[in-house]
Amino acid sequence: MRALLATPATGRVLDVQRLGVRFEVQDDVVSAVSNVSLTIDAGEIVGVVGESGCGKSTLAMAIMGLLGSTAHITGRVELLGRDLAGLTVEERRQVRGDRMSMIFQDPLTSLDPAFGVGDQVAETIRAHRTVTPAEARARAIGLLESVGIPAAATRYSDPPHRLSGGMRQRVVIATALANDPALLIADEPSTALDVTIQAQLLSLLRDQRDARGMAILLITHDLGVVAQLCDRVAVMYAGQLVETATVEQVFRAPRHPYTQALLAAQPSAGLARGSLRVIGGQVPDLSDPPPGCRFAPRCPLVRPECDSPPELLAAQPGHSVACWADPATHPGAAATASSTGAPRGAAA
Amino acid sequence: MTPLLEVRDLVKEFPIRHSLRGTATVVHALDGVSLSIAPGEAVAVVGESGSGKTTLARCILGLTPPTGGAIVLDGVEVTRGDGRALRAFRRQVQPVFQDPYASLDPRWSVARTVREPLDAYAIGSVADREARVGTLLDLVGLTARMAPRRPHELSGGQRQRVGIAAALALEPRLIVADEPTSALDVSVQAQILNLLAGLQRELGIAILLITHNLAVVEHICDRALVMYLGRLVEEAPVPTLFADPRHPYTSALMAAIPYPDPSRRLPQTVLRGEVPSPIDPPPGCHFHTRCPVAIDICAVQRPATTQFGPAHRAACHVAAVAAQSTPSFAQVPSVPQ
Amino acid sequence: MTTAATTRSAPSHLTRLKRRTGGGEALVGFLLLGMLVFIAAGAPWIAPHDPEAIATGRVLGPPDLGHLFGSDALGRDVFSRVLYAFRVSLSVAIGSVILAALIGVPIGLIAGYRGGRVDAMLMRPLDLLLALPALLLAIALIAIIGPGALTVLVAAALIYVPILARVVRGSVMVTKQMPYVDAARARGVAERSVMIRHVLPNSVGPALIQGTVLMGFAIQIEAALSFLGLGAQPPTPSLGVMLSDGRDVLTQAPWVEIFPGLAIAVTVLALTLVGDGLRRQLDPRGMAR
Repeated sequence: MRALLATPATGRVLDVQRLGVRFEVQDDVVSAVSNVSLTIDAGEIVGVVGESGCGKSTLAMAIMGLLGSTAHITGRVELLGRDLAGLTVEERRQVRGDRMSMIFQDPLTSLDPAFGVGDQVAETIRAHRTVTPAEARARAIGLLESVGIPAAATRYSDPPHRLSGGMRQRVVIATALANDPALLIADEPSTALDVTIQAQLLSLLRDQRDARGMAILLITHDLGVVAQLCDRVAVMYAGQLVETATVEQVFRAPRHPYTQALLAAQPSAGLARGSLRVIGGQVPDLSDPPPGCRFAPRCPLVRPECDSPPELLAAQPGHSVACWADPATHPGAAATASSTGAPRGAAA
Repeated sequence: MTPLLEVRDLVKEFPIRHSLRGTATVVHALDGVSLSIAPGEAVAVVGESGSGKTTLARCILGLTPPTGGAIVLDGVEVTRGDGRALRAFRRQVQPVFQDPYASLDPRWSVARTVREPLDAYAIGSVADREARVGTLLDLVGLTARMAPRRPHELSGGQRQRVGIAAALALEPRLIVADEPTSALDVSVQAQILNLLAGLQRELGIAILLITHNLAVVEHICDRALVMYLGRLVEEAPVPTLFADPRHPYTSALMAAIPYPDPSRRLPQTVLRGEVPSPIDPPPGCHFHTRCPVAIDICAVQRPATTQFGPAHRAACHVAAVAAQSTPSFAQVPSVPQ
Repeated sequence: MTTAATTRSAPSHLTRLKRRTGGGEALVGFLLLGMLVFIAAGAPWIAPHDPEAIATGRVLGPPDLGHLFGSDALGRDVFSRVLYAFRVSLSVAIGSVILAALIGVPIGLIAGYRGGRVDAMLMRPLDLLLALPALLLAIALIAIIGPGALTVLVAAALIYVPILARVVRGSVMVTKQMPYVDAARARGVAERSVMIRHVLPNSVGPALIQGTVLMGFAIQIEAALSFLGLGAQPPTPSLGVMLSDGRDVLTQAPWVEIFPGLAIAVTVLALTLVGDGLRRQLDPRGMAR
């Protein structure tokens, strides 16, 4: 099992190439993810950020291989150099929970209410390692302690409902890290938690990354969380990747109009009081999306080229953007509002 | 000026019967909360889970009767109002709820939902009410085309606007908004917040905004109250609260906000531990078990409220001591070094 | 959080119909049920022969053109008898559930909404009723009132009241927690109005589904009681009576037994399909949007 995918100390952990996900829903085909490419190296924390419906969770599920048969996936996902699509069902099961693991938003439903939290950590260990139950238990206790659960041995048999939300999420992280994965995918891990508990959790994730050197793919809608935890950021809109950059680049000098608008709409403490910038219009219907750039109908910089999908091109080292109006990737394009600019301020 | 709404020493306890153990225990949701809202003012109540902020909202809205204390509207006590008094009260105080997906009856059209308060109080003729529905929808930025639609045809932001329109129907003097934007996307949050701020300005409605998100508070509210485990720990005008928090919990809360700014990283330890259970809260100051600067008296005696400025109060032994000992106030350190 | 995907294509008529009735199978169920009700209502006009007309010349005659289902031990036309029997059986099935709903739904609504002592007071007697075995209860009632289709209807209704009340009560207890109920109360709507106009319509779904299941059971209860001679009395045909009659001549003239049996099966099938469709229709609408 170990031989399946050996973890390098450095190097590329995840390589997603032109990933597309389409769902068949009754009579329609929904294009939830379209042409997404991104990479994560060992020790990196990459955030995928976007609003609801942008496809970020679908992306994560597709990478983990958790989508059902209604999903049609195109493109390539390579974990530690190995194409995941080429694995058998059994091999994929071996990879999950061992080489890569995932944590979800709601810790209550991520844990089985019927048995103890310690046992659930031990279960993940025994699913991928041959150890005696006693060893698994010992390791589980060690893991629970390392994620900050005090008196782990006593709490080993506590059912999830005895723990608070923050504690449960720590247990979930313990199960995810039980087998020292190369990649941890975290889908909105702190969204359901209080802000002070969220701060603890983000600290924990950072500490674990420092200690284990694993890669983390963080899915979130909260730009604040991204700024706190991530090294690099990928911004998604309506299933498309619109911008990828280091976290400093994205916050200092966002290039894509959607990224700029998103940042301007954040109510961050410290900003002058007054109206928040709003983005006019609505998210497109993904069963009938715009042919090219999906943000075009709402974009102040829209122009005729936007009818064909823009490629994600490097504007600067480490900073790529998919926008026809970006002067660095499309020299000669004037980044001014065109006469066909979309209306602003319409109610969503 | 008489305050529009006054809450005096409000107490709310929920009994829980343990059928197995046979003992009755009590959840202390509110433990002596007092506040006042002036006409047209926007006040925020901030707190995390277990703070009691939602219980406070429900008591003020008359959905849950308090166990003790008083609620006074325009100088008239309405706490344990019976039918008539409660009805009159409700015209003045209207709700906006958190979950746009569950706060509208899924079977009712938008128009019917917005018209319902008018129907309940038999205001004007049916034609008058229909006309008013149109005006209300307009006020919240929805077109007349939305009127016959059902909630499942609307987006989250649109549903929330319908809720606000219904809240405005009776021309209330106070809107109690319980986490009105928490369930919405950030860009939609901005629209709803702008809407609420605009309505407050134009119509002079007071707003009581319940939220866990301090960042949101700055955009609408004049004053903010911070709650922890059923008690009010600090109250101040918003700029003052951000510039000069006195209570260690307030400082921790603000330190925990993840700013969308990579150069402002969260400190390694913002606040240790978890919120204690409201069934068995810590003695003395409820916060002392997690407080980085707690002293001996904190475990024993509930702190009194100290005034730190014209509208700035906090309930903290350490802050009170610090304010006395240094004439020019020194800020209480919020994080241990 | 909402998803951006909403369907916008123009579906075919059949697809639309399928969606509104909760799936292809449910559509079949609805059509079938409609047909059966139509047949039952139109029995006097459709039946080729008098169901009670004895014709000694045609005793146990096999099915032929004039007598589609053959003739029974008294020479009566089985087809006509089945048609009339449908009337009795369907009336009992539908009538018992409607009667039970008229009593049980309000009880469940008030008990669930008020809770506490009112809940206890209303539900205890119903729990008692639930504890008694259904068929024994029915037989006891028949002993008091006397046999007949109407008695069966009342007996079934009595059995069903606590079931429907309980279903509604459970549903109400969930619905009353919904913010839109709080919203209505906070907006000054009287409690009674809140209960009837908000809580009831949103809680009635599971009861509807349960109702169709109970109708299916009622058919079988009626058949069982009539089989025992306690239901519809001769010469009134009911499916149960016919089953009973057909038993004796099963080897000689199986059609006398088979066709009424098939009729019961088809009716129960139709009701089950409708129930399934209702469940699918009511559930996803809340969740998928």
